[in-house]
Amino acid sequence: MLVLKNIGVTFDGGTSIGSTILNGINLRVCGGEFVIIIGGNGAGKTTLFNVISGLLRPTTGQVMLDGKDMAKIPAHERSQYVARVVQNTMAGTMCNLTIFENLAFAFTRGKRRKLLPYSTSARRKIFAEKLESLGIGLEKRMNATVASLSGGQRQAIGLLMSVLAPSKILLLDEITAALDPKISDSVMALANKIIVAEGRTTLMITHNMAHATAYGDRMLLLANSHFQREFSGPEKEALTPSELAKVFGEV
Amino acid sequence: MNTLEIVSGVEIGLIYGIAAIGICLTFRLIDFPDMTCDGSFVLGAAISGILIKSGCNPWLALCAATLGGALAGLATGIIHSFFKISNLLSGILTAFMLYSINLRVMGGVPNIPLIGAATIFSGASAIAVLTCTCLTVVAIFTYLLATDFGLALRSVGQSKGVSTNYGVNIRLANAVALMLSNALIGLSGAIFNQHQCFADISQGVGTLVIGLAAVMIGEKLFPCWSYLLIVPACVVGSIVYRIFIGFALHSEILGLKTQDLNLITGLLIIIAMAAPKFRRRSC
Ligand SMILES: Nc1ncnc2c1ncn2[C@@H]1O[C@H](COP(=O)(O)OP(=O)(O)O)[C@@H](O)[C@H]1O
Ligand SMILES: [Mg+2]
Repeated sequence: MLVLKNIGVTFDGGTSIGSTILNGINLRVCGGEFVIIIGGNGAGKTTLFNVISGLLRPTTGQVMLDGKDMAKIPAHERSQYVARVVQNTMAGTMCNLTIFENLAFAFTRGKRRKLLPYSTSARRKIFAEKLESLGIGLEKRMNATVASLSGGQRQAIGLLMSVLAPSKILLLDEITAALDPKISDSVMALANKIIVAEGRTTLMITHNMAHATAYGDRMLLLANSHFQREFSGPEKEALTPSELAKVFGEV
Repeated sequence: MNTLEIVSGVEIGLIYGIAAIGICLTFRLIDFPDMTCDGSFVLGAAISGILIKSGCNPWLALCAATLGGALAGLATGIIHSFFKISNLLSGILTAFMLYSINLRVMGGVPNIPLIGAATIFSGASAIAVLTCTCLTVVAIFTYLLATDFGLALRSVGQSKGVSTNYGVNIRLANAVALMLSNALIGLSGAIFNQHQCFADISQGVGTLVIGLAAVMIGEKLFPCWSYLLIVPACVVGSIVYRIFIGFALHSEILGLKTQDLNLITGLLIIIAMAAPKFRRRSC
């Protein structure tokens, strides 16, 4: 279970006042829950993910994961608990390495990286199965570099990489924002399939309102530095596009 | 160029090939332009020189020089990660300070002749000794790159963001790669010292550029960057570089002299870098 207690983030930026990006963020996410976060540009959503993943130390408050204070865990150990996919399709994978090398690297997240060969037939078998389950034919191209893939394929690999190792929390930050609408829908469907099948505790930021209403157990609106509104599953499903636009407009 | 000169070119190529592997580890694998090398090469030569002179086992002298090089790399790693000094300047500072340390190691004299002392080449064929040593180093480092640990090192040079998200401690990875790299460069300096039978405070000048030339030639010769070829390509590149330089300096038509070496090497690197970039092909 992930608990955010009164998280606040202020960047001083050299001024005496500073800019408060987050203030009084409280959240409780149970195991297996899939929570959607929406909010305008610059609302602080990515900043919140940086806090949860331990990349950024909050000015106030605590991030507790299964009762452990994330600030007290060393950085490399945190990667054992937090899986993350970023918006930029180029930033979630290593372009000059092959699909297999990317997957083999991701497979060892949170484990000690030993002096043993990374290319084993056991791993090839596991990765081939996982790639096959994506249903986009990448299992036949394991030795191709990621640079040779399309944006959608790259993001699918980035997604697969993030879930190869177990995680306590999966953070998806606008993973479909850089893709065209059709590819965007299929990557989102793929993400949902994995999340539901594996019961991954997930937080997902999205700007795609169709995705926000169709997927996830509940939805939070981040505005004015805190969670301004919460929509339960049935509530958000009942939202019509125009109502949702109004919610955004009020901000 | 006669056979003897070609053999001598291959020998020097093999020696600098070990340094080239080290330079490839930093410049290519972790994307860290490490300027420590000119200093750590002399450090290796100096440690080996002083130990050989005092009658130490020549293989033990090589081990000591390797260790010395590793410490020089560690120094650069610490200056960079803990004092937050840029990667370029960290190496330059270490190399600069190493000049004093190297002179101290050499007992305050700028030159140690080793005429008649027992070296790894005593009573053996130099080319055989060098080939075996080089093959051992190539085997070790090719294996290293084929492991999970090696893949983590490579990730640092590919994408710091992915590396961090997947739990690689970048400071540690940099320090380890710098240590391995400079250990190899120190070893290369020590072998050079025993091969040439003298240690000199200015022996290291140009190690970086020569090593880089070898790395680039290797990349052109093996454009398909399978991880298994990265390491051997450095050694092959280094040998090809020596033979190329040998022919260039010996050809009557060009009329080049030994002092033109730096000019030719520099131009070679510029041409290699300006040549159309290759993409790593799937193979
Ligand atoms: N390291 C930083 N220093 C100063 N300001 C920052 C920093 N990181 C983010 N910000 C600011 O915080 C605000 C929120 O950014 P972000 O969390 O990326 O928003 P989004 O909700 O679009 O993901 C932006 O105005 C951004 O300029
Ligand atoms: Mg963002």
